[in-house]
Amino acid sequence: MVVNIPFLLLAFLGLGAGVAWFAGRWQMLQLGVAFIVTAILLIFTAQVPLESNVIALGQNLTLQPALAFAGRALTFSDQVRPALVMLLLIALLFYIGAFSLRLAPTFVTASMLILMLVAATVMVKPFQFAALFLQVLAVSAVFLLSDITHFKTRGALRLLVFFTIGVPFVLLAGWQLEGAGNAQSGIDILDQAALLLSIGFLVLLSVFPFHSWVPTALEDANSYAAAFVIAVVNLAVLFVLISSLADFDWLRSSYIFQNVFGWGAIATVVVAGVFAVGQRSFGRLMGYAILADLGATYLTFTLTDFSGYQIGLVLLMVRIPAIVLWGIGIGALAPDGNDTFDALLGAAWRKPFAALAMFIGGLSLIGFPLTVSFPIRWQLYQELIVSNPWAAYALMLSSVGIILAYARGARMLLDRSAVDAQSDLADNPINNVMCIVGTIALLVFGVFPQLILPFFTALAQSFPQLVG
Amino acid sequence: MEFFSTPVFLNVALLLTIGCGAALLLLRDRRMQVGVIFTVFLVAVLIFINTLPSYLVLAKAIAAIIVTIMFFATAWQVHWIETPELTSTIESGTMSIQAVSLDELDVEATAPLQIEPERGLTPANISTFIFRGLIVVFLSIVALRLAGFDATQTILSLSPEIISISFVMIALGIAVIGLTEAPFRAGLGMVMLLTGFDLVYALLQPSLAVVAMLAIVNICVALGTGYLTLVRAERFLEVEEL
Repeated sequence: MVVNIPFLLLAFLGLGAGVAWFAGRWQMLQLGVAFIVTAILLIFTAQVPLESNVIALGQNLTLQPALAFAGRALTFSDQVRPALVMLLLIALLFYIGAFSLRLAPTFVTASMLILMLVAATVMVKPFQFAALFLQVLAVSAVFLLSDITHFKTRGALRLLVFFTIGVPFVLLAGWQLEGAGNAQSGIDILDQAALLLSIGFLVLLSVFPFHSWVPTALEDANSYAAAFVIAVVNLAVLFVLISSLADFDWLRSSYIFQNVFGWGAIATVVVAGVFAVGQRSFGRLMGYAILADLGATYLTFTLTDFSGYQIGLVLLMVRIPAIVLWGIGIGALAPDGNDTFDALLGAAWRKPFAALAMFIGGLSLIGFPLTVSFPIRWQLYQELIVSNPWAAYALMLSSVGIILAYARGARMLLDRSAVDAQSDLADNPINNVMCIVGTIALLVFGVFPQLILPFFTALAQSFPQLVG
Repeated sequence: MEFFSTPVFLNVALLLTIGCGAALLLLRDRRMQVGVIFTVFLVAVLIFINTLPSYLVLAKAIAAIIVTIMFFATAWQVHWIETPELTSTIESGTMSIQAVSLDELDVEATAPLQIEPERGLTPANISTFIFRGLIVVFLSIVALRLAGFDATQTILSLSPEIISISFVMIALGIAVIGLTEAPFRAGLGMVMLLTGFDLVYALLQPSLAVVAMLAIVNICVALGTGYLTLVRAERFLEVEEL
């Protein structure tokens, strides 16, 4: 029997989404299905051999790594395997965290459809067709970011607008590259393609000034759903970028790409730090913290040696536990979605574990000492201070801005004047357990990075196109 | 059919495109907005008649009709446009809202409804009208200037008139997107932008896969903005029933 790997992956995710849809309002059942499907696919993706015969359930199976459609192909290879493993690992973490929260009934279905689209984006060749999946991805994300309980549509609309603006640049770059075979004008065309690709990726990767959907989505939408969208959508675009960098050596060394991307990343980091200081909502503050971290990740792509890419990929991964923990914390602190400092006055006394989880998650994201992101941020600072000192200073100042904003938030959360005698600790024991376990995990891995960093580094190094 | 590639038609199409952009920026009636976006599609399809194989033109026409129907259905679902004389009881009093557009109603969960000024030829409306009109003029000039550069003509190797129409559509589409936070109007702006891009890209890459891809992108935009429009309208109707 022939088993097509890309089809199997997409079909399982689609099936999971379908079952979750029929499970309706039984959130635990939906999450159970999502968890099981994602865990099985994670193991399958990590272990499945390519183009070989295997015997499973008494059947002799021939595994096919490519799925052809409309003259294009979705291909599962050793190049895309680490990306898919990373994606499913991230989804698994989000689904585990979601067990402790009350989410919209559409969360699981929409999130699994998004995973399906990201998987297709990662596997499709040629790369400009990934742009199509990115556009569909943006539309699917809209369904997660807005619903009848989160009726403000600004974040979702801006995401859709930016993707609609960004996708044509990637398509035009693809057209330019097809004409690059012309020997006479090859170099000019490569420069034009580099410029188009750089602009396209700046827009799609939420680089300043195309960043505004991130904080707005975290303010307007359900925080946890918005965090999922930001993490996964950004990951999808980054995979396309990494794939482009791997396919086109000239892009990696293009001075246009290096300059546009480098300055864009620095601007994002600076803007995030400056804007964070004035925020009075934990959602928007987290949005700017995520932007600063995204800026830091993009800066690694301007480092000329391969260690830069590896640092970027590890940053991508250590970001996720921090975002999930923050989401669990803020979901418990502000179940109604109102996460302004004023609305959460004194909330730390009512829900101390949730407040702690939110702070540790938020601070871990910016590489605060003793948290899981610190060691890799430290390594990034060491690289940047040699190659681009201004970027290193900008990143540090941005982190200071975000810490100041969190300090202001902490003062409000700890305000005793607003404390009522009622503690909400007994309300949601699962959430308390998750907050405690997550907080301890982030701190332990921060103090003993050797427990987790080798795994992340190995995963980063398994992107064959980057290490060789 | 040759008429659709003559300079006369292309110049008329260019003027029509500028008019459509202006109408999208200035008109509030959603029926007319849907009509305007249909006109934009029509201009594009007519241009394609002499520049693309007929099966691709047919595919584009079908996609255009689907997208127009999606916008039409969305507008119909939310009762077309500005809802005149809505009366809503908020907290202790009853306030009358004069012709509030669903587009412009910024309904806050906790804040009371904001009263919009009465529509008509008020000084504020006239200044908005003039401002948006000037934007149309300014962006059209910039787009036409960009389209006229030698470098643009060399890179794209297409008819200067088609490049001009494409650039004007893109510029005015961006203006529509930039001047609204309403999903419906932004959706129309995005579709106008994509149609402008499509005018050039489909001629550069004339394949069914590319046509299908751009059609899917357009349909996705209509679907996404339609959903967001309905979410906002649903909330509006809830508030109205308070």
